[in-house]
Amino acid sequence: MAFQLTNEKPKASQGAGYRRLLFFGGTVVALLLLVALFAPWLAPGDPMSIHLDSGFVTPGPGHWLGHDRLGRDILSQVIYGARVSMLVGIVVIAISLSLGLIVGGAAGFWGGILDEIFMRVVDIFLAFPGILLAIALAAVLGPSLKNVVIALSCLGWVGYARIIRGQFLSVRERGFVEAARAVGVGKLRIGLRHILPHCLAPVLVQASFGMGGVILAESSLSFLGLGSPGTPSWGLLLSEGAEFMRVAPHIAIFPGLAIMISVLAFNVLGDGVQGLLLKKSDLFLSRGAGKGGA
Amino acid sequence: MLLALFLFLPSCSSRNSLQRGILVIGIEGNPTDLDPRTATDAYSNRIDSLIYNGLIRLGPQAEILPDLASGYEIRDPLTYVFHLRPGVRFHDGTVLSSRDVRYTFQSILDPRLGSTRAAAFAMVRAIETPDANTVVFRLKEPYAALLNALTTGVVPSPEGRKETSPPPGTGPFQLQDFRRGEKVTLAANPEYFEGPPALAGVVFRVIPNDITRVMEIEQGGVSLLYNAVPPDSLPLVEAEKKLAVIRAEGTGYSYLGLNLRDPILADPRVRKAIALAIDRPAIIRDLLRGLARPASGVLAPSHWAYRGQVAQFGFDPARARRLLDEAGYPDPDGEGPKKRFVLSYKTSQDRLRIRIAEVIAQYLEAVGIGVEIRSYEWGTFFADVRNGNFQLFSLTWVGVTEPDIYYYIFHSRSLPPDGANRGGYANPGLDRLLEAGRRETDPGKRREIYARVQESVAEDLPYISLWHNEEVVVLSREIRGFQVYPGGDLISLARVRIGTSP
Repeated sequence: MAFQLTNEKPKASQGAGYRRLLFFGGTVVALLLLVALFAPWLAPGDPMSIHLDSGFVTPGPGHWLGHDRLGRDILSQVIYGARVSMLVGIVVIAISLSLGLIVGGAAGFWGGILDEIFMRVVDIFLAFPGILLAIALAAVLGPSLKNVVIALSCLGWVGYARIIRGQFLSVRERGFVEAARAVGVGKLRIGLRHILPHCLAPVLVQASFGMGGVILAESSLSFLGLGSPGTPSWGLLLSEGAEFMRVAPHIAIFPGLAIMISVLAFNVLGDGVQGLLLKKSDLFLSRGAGKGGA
Repeated sequence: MLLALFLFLPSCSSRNSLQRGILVIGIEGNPTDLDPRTATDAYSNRIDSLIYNGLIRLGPQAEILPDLASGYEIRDPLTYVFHLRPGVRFHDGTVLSSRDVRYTFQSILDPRLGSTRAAAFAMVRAIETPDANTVVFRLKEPYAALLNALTTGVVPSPEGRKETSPPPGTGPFQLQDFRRGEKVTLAANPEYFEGPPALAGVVFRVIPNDITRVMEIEQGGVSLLYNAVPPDSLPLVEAEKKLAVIRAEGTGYSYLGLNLRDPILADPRVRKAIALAIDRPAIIRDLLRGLARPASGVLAPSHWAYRGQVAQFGFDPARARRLLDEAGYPDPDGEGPKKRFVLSYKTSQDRLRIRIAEVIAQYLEAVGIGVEIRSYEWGTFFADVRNGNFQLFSLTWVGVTEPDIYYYIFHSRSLPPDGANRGGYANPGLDRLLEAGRRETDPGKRREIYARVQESVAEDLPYISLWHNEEVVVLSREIRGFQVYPGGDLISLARVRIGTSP
């Protein structure tokens, strides 16, 4: 809520507000990425090593977040879980972005019948409730990390395709594109060099919000048992915690916090990026318009 | 007026039900088919034990007790004569006669009914009814397991009556309402031949979620749970003063199934090594909270044919490693990550089952056997098990009362779909013993034969025995006189009463 307030502040301090968001989100995201990268060095032990006689141990010295039902260290699982979440997030965003770029770019650039076909396909995908389709896909493909990535990518690309198409449609009518056309720049070159860079800002914002969404979706799928069994994952640990909520509440709390913090961090980062980049591109646009007019 | 009715409705909890003499029982899954001839799931069988009677029934030690038949004689190994109790009435008021008994078992043998119980009556040549109260079973060859099969509920012959599904029974309770996936309501049968039950009715409520079920019994929404509280939640209900917990030795047998067509698992040394590598007492203590006992065979120690002095495989990882070395599977890098070989382990998606698989996998990995756990939705998992599409799997046989189960699971002719020899076990010596066990009708001699069967199986390990699960019943302290029977038979509810004092 505190972040909402910054939007209502007078215009002069808006840039500072966005910068604060960017700083906060960026720091947490950077930390998460570092934890994911250096998990084997940071984790106190093997996250999947079973110690039957120490199930349900509550947090304390030496096992700071306690143990789960099979005596596995929760801190190690949360640290390794960051790896799974970040990996799935990055891979899904990369695949979705590439697919979205191809489909949305092609539709927006060439328009006509191609646009018609691609956008109807996008509409069909949008008609499905997102997570439900992911659950159905993951259930059909079978529980594994690869299939979670496939299921989430199948949904993720649609949003990027729409944004990129919209951006292409609006930018291709701008003066500087017309100018480029007038001096005889090739069609493909216009698309790649003059229009595509304008998609960067909204796509970056979408990707940052998207990371949060993918992390949440991956956790949901793992929670439902559609993730990879035997891989430490926040969702999996959370579902075990839910099972033992009354006997050992600490099992659910820590993966829950990890999910919350990382989703929040990516959303805040997204807000910050949006604020700064869109402001900048506004400036850029007015300058571009001015030039076009000259 | 309406408002008063609405205000009253939510207070109709089980506590009130109990005071009105209606016992609410929570069950984990949906009873699918209440017809006793075709019922296969555990919930239907439990409910049927209240609606129907067999010719005979099994007592707490799986001993044979009279039921619809007041007595029986085995004239010779091929001829069984049953004398029916006179004057027994079905719930629709008609009188039980020998015709109904003949109809029941003839319809089971009729392929059109598609009953899975047909195999148990395959040895029956003819069923004769010399008078209204006498039934004679004539067999093709001696078959000692027939008596156990005759616990199947008797239904009325459809001649001259309106057919209903499920058909009426003769038991202490009659079916009043069956809402699929929700609940089954039974009302007391005032005409029950052993006297009307003290309860006015029994309601089975389907509550699939473990947490909800436990909270329901704590809050009094249900008054009895039969093997339906997960081990880790038992302390919660034990702390509840108004609830009692009954624990009894169970007839359930959990085991690790092996595919003996697999070249690695075909070697008995590998099977012994697997048995030696698993610390069963530790799993029972820490994961099952002591609600099981290590098993050495399918039959529970309380069974009349149980044999305790058989080959035992305690936890001995060093010996397991030596056996694997001898079998020609040396560990490529000792303590290192490389494995001697990798086995796939299939299981259902039940949380406890997956956890058991994870623990067993860690034990096997400690002796150098790699394990890949694959958990599937129940239908897929069970189809794979039946089709022999597995290396390792774990399952539980429930309600084991008849030693002839060994024929069903290990005889070389019992390959699915004719039997449940899913691992493809073939041992001519054991086959001969199992055939002899079926033919022998003298209980003393049968016990000797099955002692040898248990010794042979414990030595050769076509299954890795895990444990016998205990029967755990959680019930309101106001319920008096509940008794645990093998296989979840709830017949003691016919005599249960509700105590007035706390």
